[in-house]
Amino acid sequence: MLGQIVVSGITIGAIYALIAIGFTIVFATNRLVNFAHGEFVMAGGMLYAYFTGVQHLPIAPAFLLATVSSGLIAWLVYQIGLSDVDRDNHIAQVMITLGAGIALKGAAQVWLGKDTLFPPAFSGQAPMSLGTLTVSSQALWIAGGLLTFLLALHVLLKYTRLGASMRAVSINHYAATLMGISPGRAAAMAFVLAGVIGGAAGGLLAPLASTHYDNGIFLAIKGFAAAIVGGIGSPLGAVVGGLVLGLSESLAAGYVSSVYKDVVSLALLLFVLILRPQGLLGRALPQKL
Amino acid sequence: MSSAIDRRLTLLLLVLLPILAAITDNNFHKSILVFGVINAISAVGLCLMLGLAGQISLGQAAFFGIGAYVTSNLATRAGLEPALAIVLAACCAMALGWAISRPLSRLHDHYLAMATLAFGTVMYIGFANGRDWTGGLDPGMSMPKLTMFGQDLSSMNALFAVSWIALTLSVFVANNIAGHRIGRTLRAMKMSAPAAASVGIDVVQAKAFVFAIGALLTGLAGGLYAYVARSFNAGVFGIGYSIELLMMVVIGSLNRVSGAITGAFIITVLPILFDRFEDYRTLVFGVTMVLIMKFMPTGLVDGLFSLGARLLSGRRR
Repeated sequence: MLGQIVVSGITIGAIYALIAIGFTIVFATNRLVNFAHGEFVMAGGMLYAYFTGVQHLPIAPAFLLATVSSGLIAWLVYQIGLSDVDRDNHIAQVMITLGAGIALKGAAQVWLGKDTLFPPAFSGQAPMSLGTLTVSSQALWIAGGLLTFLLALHVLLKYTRLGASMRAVSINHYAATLMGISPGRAAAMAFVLAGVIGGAAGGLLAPLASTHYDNGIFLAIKGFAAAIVGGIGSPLGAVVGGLVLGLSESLAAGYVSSVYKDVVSLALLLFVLILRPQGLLGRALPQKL
Repeated sequence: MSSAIDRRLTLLLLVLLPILAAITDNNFHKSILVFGVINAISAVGLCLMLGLAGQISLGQAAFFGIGAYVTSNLATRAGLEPALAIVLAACCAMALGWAISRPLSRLHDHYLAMATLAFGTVMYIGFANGRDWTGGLDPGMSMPKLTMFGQDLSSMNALFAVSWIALTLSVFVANNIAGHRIGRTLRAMKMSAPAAASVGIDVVQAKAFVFAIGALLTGLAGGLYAYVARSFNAGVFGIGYSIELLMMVVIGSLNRVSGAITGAFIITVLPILFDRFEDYRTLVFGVTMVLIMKFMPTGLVDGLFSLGARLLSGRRR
């Protein structure tokens, strides 16, 4: 029982971690919380279902296309909505990303349909048994996806010029500008990365938990909770936060009631915000007056 | 907020509404007016929080829900007089607003938005699953007719009159807060919380105050909603309503009570106008929101004002 709960906790936790990474990257470079992020995840899942179900593409190109389109959508949201908004106008940023999210949800409803879709799993539905545990193959894909993206992100941020410029912008936006780095480009790139990783999370999750045009905001809240619990601004924190959140949720579902598992994870978010706003792994930033 | 122009505009709106109600003989249109007035009460509450004090909240639907459910439970189970039930329910919402503000007082902007969104979601899950008290999503709640002192007030005209009085009272409260010492305190806090604290303003208490007032007004609106809708389910009190409320305040004007009322009516009527688009409604709503924020960041009413001023001065030259 416990082993099974841990397995499902890690699976869902890995998804939360992938969503949280998107929040974290965008926050680091733009200093904003992207309320449309959940819709990138939704778009990834819905498009994956669309490409496999309606266009009858094989699984690999369908997933790839869904991921890339999701990144493109994120880039459009940044370019159209946010690129010329004042960095300190937080209310406008909240409203614009909320509005963009609603528009994306509406677009999905119109063009991808209102049905709950169950796209095919990446390698068949048959679950595997590891000792006494039963693990669905999709769960392994999810874990593998998380590891791949973490590695790729690490390489990108550490060893490429683009990654260096993104880190510079996140440390000091103004100083980075003086050093000839375009903060707009770093910010746009952050959105694309968030869109790609979020879209991948959506595509990975869809075969396991189905996909629907309306569940973006919910995924966003969970991903944000994971980002906050781990400490927003650090990708590693996002992973830790995602796993903590996934495990506590599946423990709550297993031992208390599945109805209130969301209450448990959101209560966790509120507690962390109240007691340790910088997150489990984050450092408290000095406040600028 | 609470400038002379704003006060005059608000008064104009408050006078205009009963005239509109009197000339419409269609019950459906009248009901839209009543819901508009109820939304306006909630919007005035959020306008105080966001426009005056700079405290964003994406959890207002929770206070609205508390208002509706406490009212209906007090009225149907405890057999309380409806007016008393509504007032008590609004006070419950106020207490909740005060209580939730204390732990959140360290947060601002994005963090506050997300934390209140999480709070609203938790409350929504509670509403949807606490079926013994709320009827959840499926059977929902049904309410008796609104009566006061033995008078049947369930006709649309009477409901409009009651809601209109509540709105007038809310506007009175809001204008007084904005013009009073506490209003200046809140404005100072909006500009810079540390600076306000440095001149001796108790920021935590000021935040709790404005949350409590915002929740009180939204709870009042919720109580009225229970009697106007008479049958409703938990779906009304989801994240969607919180976002719509935020839209009302932002679309209207962040700095004017009259803007909140205008915004409330725009957002109440807009979906009905968009009805023929059916599926495109959400899309159009979202795009409208982005466009307004991009091109009129201080709200539609202020935006039109400055546009008008620009046109007028252009003509003079």
